[in-house]
Amino acid sequence: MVLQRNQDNVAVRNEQFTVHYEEIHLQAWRLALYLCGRREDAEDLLAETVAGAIRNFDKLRDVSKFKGWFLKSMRNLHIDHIRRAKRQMDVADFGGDVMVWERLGRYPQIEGPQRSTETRQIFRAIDRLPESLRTPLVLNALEGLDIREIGDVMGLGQSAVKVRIHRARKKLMELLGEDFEVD
Amino acid sequence: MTGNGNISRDPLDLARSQMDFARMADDAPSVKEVLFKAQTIIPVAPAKPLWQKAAPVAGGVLAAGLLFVPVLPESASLDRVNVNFEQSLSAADAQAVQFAIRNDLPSEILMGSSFSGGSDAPGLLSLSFSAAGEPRLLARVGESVEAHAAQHGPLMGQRINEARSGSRDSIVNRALSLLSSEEDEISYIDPSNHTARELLDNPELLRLGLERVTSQLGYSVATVSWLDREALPADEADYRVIELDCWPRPLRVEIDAVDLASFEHADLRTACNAWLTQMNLGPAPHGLASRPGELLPVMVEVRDPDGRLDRALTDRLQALIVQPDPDAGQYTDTSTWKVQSVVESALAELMGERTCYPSYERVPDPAYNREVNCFWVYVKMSNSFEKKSPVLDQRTSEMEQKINF
Repeated sequence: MVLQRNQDNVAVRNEQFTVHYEEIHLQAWRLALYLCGRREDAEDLLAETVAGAIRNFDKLRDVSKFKGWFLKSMRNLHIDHIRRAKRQMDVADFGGDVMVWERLGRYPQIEGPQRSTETRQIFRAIDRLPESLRTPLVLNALEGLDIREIGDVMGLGQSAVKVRIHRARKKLMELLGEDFEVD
Repeated sequence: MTGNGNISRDPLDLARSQMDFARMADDAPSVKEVLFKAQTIIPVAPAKPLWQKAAPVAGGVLAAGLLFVPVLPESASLDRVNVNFEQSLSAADAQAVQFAIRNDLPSEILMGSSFSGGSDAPGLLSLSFSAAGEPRLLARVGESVEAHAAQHGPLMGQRINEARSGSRDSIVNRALSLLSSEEDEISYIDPSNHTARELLDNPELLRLGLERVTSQLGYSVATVSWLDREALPADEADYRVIELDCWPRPLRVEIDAVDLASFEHADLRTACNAWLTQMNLGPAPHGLASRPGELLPVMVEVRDPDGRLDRALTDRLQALIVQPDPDAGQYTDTSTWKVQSVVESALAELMGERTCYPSYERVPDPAYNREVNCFWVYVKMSNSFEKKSPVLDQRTSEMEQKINF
């Protein structure tokens, strides 16, 4: 009887999780793509995050924060992967072609032929922003997350997020020159 | 709205309009696929009734448990190891042994020491180590002590396991708990970036220690707070305020009294300074100089005047900053912990008279809930060999003030 109840509870939990997850699936997929830069890696990251999130879904007290909670888990998991990869790198390789911190966040195919020169220039400038500025800017301006959600994802207060977005926009304009203007 | 017809000149609007959300959505795996893949990583729901797999799992766990019985920790608690040297040592030897052992210690372990002799008279050295729930680290301590102290005769070790709740306490909290207990007084704080940050977040440790010092003179402490500037000498208008040159930041202590005379102020200041020095929290340079691995990582990137990454210079600068051999020359000014001075010393060495403009950024690490994980330094080289302009110097000093904690 107890076992049956446990199974029922797990099934209900999985069902609830799926309902919430379906709402943010596409956004989570885009963030995974942004973080990994490759479709295959993004699929792995997403699946791994989902597995962890299902296990810990019971610990989420406020389901209205599901999106921030889930995306934050994904980002943390990605940072863990990066860190693990960094640890495996030889000291001599550290200054090689791929700097670890440069790999935190890229949309794939931004250099694709379908992009105009101007857009490529913008994405390249976004890429050159430091990760601490780039991620909040991308999440806000391109992914449409609000300040609170970005704070949840990055583990920052709302004012810190605002400051970073402001600095990111300013830095972006410096990188792009005078041809553009930002609100 | 300027330029390309209907396209906004806000680059972010432009970027957003160019992002092919529909295509990304088409490319996305379905929710079912993701859930299925997640299930292959970690089973998210029991595939069969629990009782069917409970028996083999329980058997496996029991077998594994039996295998590891001899090496299981006695308790997940605060472990302490006391090491008492049986032969007496001269003060210089005792200091050398302490220094050598301390340098080998992992940062998770606190070391306390006492020496029964005087500066001229030999005496017995005893060391105490503590770490929360880290029996393997304590085993490493034993190895380290034996390696460094073999020439000073046999050791007598005594291991004490104390059951304390919350064994995952921070280093400072552990020190605090030791300091709070009457019988075991912690007498040394091993400096590291991590400890510094903990102390800055929680000056209670200092408050408790200073309270003890002042109470011996018949006074009590009203407030303890960090200063954002250098400690000043006595303020004649109010002798109750004592500003101390302390690590990692100057400290302001206010004594709980209506008024104090200058000699009382001087006595209290001397006693507080003596305690801080004893705890290794005084203004003198600290042991970090020989422990570069404990500094915050400094990541550098050197770009030439055209903005291209200069890989060779980046590597050389990085190598100069992360100096693995303490005897090979330090650029790490650990007494002030100014990353700027570290970088600038290295740049002066590397670039000579060539002008370059370093900028600094602190990279936070939300995954580990630390405020700062590493410093990112971006160095832009210039073609000119002129000295920096006063404006830039001023900006650099402002930046230093902002970054330096």
